[in-house]
Amino acid sequence: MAAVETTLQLTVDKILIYYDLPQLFIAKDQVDGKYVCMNVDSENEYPKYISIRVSTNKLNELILGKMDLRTAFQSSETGVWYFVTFNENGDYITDAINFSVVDEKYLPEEGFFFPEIETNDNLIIKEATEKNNAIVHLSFSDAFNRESMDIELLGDFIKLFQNLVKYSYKKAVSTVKNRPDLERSENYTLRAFETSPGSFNIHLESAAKTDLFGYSNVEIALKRIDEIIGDVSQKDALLDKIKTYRGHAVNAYKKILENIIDNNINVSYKWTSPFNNKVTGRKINRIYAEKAIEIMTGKDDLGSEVREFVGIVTEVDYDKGTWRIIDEEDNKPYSGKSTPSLEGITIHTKRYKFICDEVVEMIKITQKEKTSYNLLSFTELR
Amino acid sequence: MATTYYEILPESCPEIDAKPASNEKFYRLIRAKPAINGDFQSKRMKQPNALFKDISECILSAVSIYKQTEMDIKKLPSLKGKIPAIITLTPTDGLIKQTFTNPHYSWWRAKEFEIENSITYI
Repeated sequence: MAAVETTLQLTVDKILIYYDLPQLFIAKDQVDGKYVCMNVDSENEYPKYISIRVSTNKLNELILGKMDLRTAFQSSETGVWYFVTFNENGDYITDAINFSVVDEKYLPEEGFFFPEIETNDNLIIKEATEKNNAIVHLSFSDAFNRESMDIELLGDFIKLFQNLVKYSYKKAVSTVKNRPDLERSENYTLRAFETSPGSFNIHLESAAKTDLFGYSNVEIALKRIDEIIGDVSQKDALLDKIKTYRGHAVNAYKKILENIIDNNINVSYKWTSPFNNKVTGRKINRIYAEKAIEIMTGKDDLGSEVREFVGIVTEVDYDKGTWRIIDEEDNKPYSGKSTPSLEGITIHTKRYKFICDEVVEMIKITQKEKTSYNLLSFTELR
Repeated sequence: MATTYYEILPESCPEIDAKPASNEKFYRLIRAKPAINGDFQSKRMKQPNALFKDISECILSAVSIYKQTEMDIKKLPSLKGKIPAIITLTPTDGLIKQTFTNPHYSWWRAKEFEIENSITYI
């Protein structure tokens, strides 16, 4: 074999197999060319990989399980193979080589495929791979399985689903402190890029980019939605799970269920991401929605989102029952109304803890949300 | 009681959402029978100075295991010839977390882990 003087710097796009170190991964070069890299020696201080540049077609054949890894590495579309090693900065650097026949020690055994993919989920996996992003397929059909839908109803459901994702995400990250990156709205925002027949399918992707390992923050929400749309025959277990998302997320979920019942619509979704690499999802029909609503009926506190503010009260109107407090945690003002009397509160000098019910309303005309707070109780702090 | 780990781990490691195993079975490749401690050491322990800038130090300090009793990863060039084994991890054997592609887990091994009582050869 003769070495060709072609040195490239690769960056990892997606790790497919990890075993004590990356064993198999997809990488890209500076011009977005895709490479499949496979570990051939992990005993030395730095591992050594063999790599081939792959076209989108060949990559898809690998992803879809139409080609095994051995076949892929036995021939190179460019006629060049690469050894990939680390340089002193930990960058992946290629060293091009020409093989007439690839040495057996650099080849996997026959029948090794990329991590398993269910055949009926090929499209969503393919989209997740090509876009390197989390993908959601949201599907609708009416009681007659018709592939068309009232546009107003469609708009409502898409908005409701986005709200469910948004509030599930916010609930999940609400306990994480000092991570402003997690608070960005792009983390939970979905964007439509395609439709397909079957039932009426809308293909959505995360508005945020994935990390190095193909992980998308929207997965935080999608995993939780999978959980709350659980087995309705296990009432107590499901209610316990739903309780952990009490507040806006449960309200959004209930609205979806109520709409399904009112309109006799079947709604399903499935999702995947390059990191997750498996497809999960749920289907909700009218019967399921009725059972789920029944489980939540009478549990009024499920929809209550309790917020706590600690700080100095800057305004109080005892007659109108309104107040304003500067929360010490984010240094922002919050205002609202009060259920208990505000008598006894001193402004500007003393610190208080306010326990409030947070209510989010959609303004019909602008479709924007309005958040308001109702003070449930307060305590003077020393 | 706080867990004592087999390896020196970086700060904030194991990761916050790692959990104890509950008598679950995992797949691991070993060099030869019987398995020895070296078969359950992380990349970081084996190669303390190697630089892997894409992988966190915490993950590098974990042992890879698969929550599946049959895997074909030993078909890969660098894993050819290794021997598959099943280990059963109890809550005292350390913490685990699903990382990378399912069913891969990272395992931060506790000192209490006893190879001979935990391993079955396939």
